[in-house]
Amino acid sequence: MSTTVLDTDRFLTLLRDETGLAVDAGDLDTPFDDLPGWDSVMLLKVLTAVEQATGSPAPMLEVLEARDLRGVHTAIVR
Amino acid sequence: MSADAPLDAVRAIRDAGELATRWPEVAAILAAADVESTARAGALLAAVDHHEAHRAHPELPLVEVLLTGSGTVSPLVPRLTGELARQQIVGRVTAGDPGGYALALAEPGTADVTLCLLDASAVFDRLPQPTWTVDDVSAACDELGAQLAESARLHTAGGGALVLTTAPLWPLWADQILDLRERARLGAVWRRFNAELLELGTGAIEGVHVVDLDPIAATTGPARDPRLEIYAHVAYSDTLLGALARRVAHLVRALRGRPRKCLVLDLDGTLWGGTLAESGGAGLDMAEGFRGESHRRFQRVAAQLGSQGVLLAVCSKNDPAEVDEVLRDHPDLLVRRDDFVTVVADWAPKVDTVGQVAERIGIGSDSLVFVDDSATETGLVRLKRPEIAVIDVNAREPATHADRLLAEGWFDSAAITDEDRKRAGRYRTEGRRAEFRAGFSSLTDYLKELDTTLTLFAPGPGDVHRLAQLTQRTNQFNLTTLRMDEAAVRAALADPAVLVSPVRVGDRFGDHGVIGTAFLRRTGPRVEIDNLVMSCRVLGRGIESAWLRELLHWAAAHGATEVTADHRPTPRNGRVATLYPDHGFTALPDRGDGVHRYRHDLTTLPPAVEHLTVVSELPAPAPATAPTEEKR
Repeated sequence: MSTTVLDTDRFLTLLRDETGLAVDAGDLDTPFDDLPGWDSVMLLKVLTAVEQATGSPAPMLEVLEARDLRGVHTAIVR
Repeated sequence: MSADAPLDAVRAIRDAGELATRWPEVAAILAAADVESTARAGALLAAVDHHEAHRAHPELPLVEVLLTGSGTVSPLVPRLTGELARQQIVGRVTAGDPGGYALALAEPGTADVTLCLLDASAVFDRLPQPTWTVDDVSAACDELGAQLAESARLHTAGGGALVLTTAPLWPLWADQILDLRERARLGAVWRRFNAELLELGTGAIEGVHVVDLDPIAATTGPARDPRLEIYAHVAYSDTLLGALARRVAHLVRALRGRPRKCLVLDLDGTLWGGTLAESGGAGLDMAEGFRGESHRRFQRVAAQLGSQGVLLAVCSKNDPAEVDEVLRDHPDLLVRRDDFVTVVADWAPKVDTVGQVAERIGIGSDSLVFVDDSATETGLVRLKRPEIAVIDVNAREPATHADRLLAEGWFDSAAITDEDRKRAGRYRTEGRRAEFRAGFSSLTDYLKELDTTLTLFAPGPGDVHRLAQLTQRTNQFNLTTLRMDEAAVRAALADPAVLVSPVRVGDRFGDHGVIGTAFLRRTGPRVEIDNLVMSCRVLGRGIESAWLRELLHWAAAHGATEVTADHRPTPRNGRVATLYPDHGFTALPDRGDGVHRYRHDLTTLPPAVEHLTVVSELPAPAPATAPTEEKR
């Protein structure tokens, strides 16, 4: 698969698949510190999955510096 | 929604809040899942109350696993939880602190299994900053190797298992050494270090197992991601961790779960190329050419598994006679008729016939691993017989058969003993008897062809253990349940008034060994049968009839005028309730002690059993009144 647009819905599905956490659109702006069950290793797993899904490298460092899921999504689609 | 069917099914169970109570169902769903789906399902399972799952399904082992290592090990938690569930194990997997292996291993383990994931940083973190030489690596390897050996001993002292991984050397390190001779030396130093680690798992320390990561790294995509290494201290890629988790789950299964004993092979497209019913034996591919070489490799691997105690069997949709001919006579076949414990050839769907393999050789169907190239057959078996492990092979790419067979490690075993290897021979004999029986329309014909020989022999000191065992372990065919230890058996052998008459049984397929024994006591003109026990595995051949007849004959020849015998009913010996009346004994008045008493007047002996050959080595009649000495 070549580059695919990863809208927030697909992004959230991927997150749920990879982490097992029940996250939805309402959690996009929740700071990671307040997101139950969240840890940064999960984020890295999500990223490798994003790379597989979109076929292009994800900016891992930028993603790691994000504060919430929307920040992660923005870094990925930029 | 995702297109991941197994995950969707597991998620539905999670949404219903029933993961803990439906753990076996999850295991069945995961049976066909790839490592990624298994990991995602594992993330859901990791959140479950494992004790609740174990309470709901006490038959599933609950195994506590502690993860530790030289990097971050938490990505293994969902993967290993999912893979253990796939092995029908409730795994409670917890991750220790990143890089905390030295501390975690320095004391006796409290988990059932500790998995220590090592990587090259364990060595390179010990090197001087900022530059290093191969000598530095060598010294650090020696130091770490000694420390790990010591820790492995300590950590397993509590009885738990320790699984260590080796640490592959990446180009990132090797390529920093520019002198190519030194780079080669680094490789040699590194491999000696890993070899020492592997030595720890060769049985040197009880409870220590070592998983070699080199072969896993060689067959899974990129084994590392430098970003994960630096940003998260995760030493290995997801694909490597997935493959490792699958292997480790098989290791835990080997330690705590159900062993898989029998490899059930399809023939056309699996064991050989081509279709027997269409091309005949001569048209099958199993020697040369693209297909031939592929199937030859597969056959060699199957034979290799067979040589280590795995029972090989066939389940094929074919004409049984044609199959038999190829298995016996095809010049190129590497696993032949005699290598298989049983061959099921039938036109019925495999889902209906694969279980016959287990029935014939007397093992549980949850010990089977079934290989077939037909997705219809494997799909149905997975659906209807979830306890059977299934491996799909692709007849269009037979070169991948051998790898697919081995990829899972279904037969991996913590240790294989000589006894395990011998077991195959016993099951083979049992399977052949069952097949043989299936070929006869009448039981009489079968028994006749079985050519059973019953030998009544005079026991020596070497038989004492077995005779005691028979009285203690036999429950169904045990007339008075008089349990005897070895001393009691020895006393009986030494008593001149007692005849101990064990029997040995053999037939055209092999020897059953000593399967029963009788204890007779002579008092004047009366012979009393104190007890009669026989193993159930030879029931249904009339052995007991021939044996009783021989004992009565012996009593008569020794001048006895009556034989008396007791039957003490127990909840489990009901099948012998009519043994004595069926053989011409008459009931004596009940004494009110719950024991049924019988008498035979020796005027008419029971008829001979036609299909049995009886050999009696009982002592010949001695001069009247002189006690007989039963020793040979």
